[in-house]
Amino acid sequence: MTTSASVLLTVVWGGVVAADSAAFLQLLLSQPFVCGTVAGALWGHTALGCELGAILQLFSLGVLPIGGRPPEDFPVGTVVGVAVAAVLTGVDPVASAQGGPLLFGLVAAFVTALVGRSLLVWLRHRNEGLARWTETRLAAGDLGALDRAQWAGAAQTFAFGMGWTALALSVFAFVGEALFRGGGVAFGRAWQIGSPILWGFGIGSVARGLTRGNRARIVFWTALVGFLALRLWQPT
Amino acid sequence: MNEPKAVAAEAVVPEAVASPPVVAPPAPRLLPARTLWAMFGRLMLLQAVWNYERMQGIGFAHALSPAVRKLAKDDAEAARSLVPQAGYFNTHPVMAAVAVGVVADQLERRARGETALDDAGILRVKQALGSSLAAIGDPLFWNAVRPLLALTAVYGWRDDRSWLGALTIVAGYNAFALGYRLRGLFQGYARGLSYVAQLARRLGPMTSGLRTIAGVIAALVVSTVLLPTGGGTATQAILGMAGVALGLMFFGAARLGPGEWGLGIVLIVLAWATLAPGF
Repeated sequence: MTTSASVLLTVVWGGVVAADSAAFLQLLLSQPFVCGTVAGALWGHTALGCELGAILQLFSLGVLPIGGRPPEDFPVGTVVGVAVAAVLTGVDPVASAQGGPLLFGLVAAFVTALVGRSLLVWLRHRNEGLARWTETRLAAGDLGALDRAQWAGAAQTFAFGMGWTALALSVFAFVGEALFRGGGVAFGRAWQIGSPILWGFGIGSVARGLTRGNRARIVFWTALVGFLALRLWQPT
Repeated sequence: MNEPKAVAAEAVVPEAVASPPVVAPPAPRLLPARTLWAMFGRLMLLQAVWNYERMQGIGFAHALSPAVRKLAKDDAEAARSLVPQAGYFNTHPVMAAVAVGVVADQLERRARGETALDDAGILRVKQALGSSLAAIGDPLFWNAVRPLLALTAVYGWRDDRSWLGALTIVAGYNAFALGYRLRGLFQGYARGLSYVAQLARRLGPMTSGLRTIAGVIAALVVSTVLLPTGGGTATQAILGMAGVALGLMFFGAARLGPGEWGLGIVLIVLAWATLAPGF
């Protein structure tokens, strides 16, 4: 696949996951492991997509889309992070061999997710106008207004996702290329140190959420001791 | 629509929930399966216009509109009778199907001229259903099913370098969520409020069981971080252990979300690697 085709498909995929995360279908295509794997495949780097997607999946499990709390935009963040890491792979061969693009991809993903949270709030406020318009049209006897409003809302979220993906991808790819051309070895070293910490922190935070209550805690720690024993004593 | 025999919510809900249905020849249902399927399709767009004023209100009215259209004389009457339904409503998106089914049942009773809730009663029941269904759906779907499937996928990647977990998440979640969405709509319509009463009793133990399994898989993933498949260095194991301890002890304790924690860790590590290259 050519680079421009990959960019185009990545931008469209960003729109799809943004819509899936709330507005349309909610099939969980927007879960980071899923959207990261697909984004990686679009760039011919499925393994890279899985690795970043898996780490971001653990972090995103700490986000509960409950009530009015604006969630971090992990779906678009993951797509952007994986695409940026794929773009940077090969720019600096030493840094790439050490996993430097993965670390920069994570920076891109987390920043995109955090900034995206404010954009989601803005989008939801925009929907208030659409909802008021729908109510007025319904009161006037226009039943078709509901269909139009719903599809307009889904299309708006899709367009927002595409636009945000395109913008974040351009900025981070540009900054990343400049950094990696000047030598991205620090990123490679940072990945060697940071990767186990990030994996550990991610799964630790998930375990914290799942071990509320004595019974859950006992099951977790017993299982952990058992699995560690099995891994230590399994024949190599 | 026929003139309804409207009654207040308090007068109907406790009786409907507490007592068994009176044995009587079942009244013919006015909504055919095709209408219910149309409502099911529209539930996929429940949150398309999600906003801070009405939350899922517009989506709720949209999902209910095929039923209202069927029961009303014409489109204009249907549209006007949907205005109250477009007000504030919020619950777990899968469990919203139950509320849509229950409200469709009440509207049908009114259309048949039976004892049913008036508009104000329906709104009160909707609010109550929103909270109670969220209390069932959020722990089940967000805190049990989603972590269970996601951790299975992550473990598959850690242990076997398999991307198939992506399919596990999508297929597993949707088998569960689409199934419940469909069942909730049809049963909510068929059995009304009595269906809601037994949901918590049935789904509570399932949620607890799935969370326990998710905890076991979390332990499995932790074991792969501490002792990576294929072997790892002692430094990696120590760093992994430090990460696990940090996550277990401090995540949620500080007022930081996962995004802030992640970015903070990455930037600290990057600064460390830049300033202490000999590490």
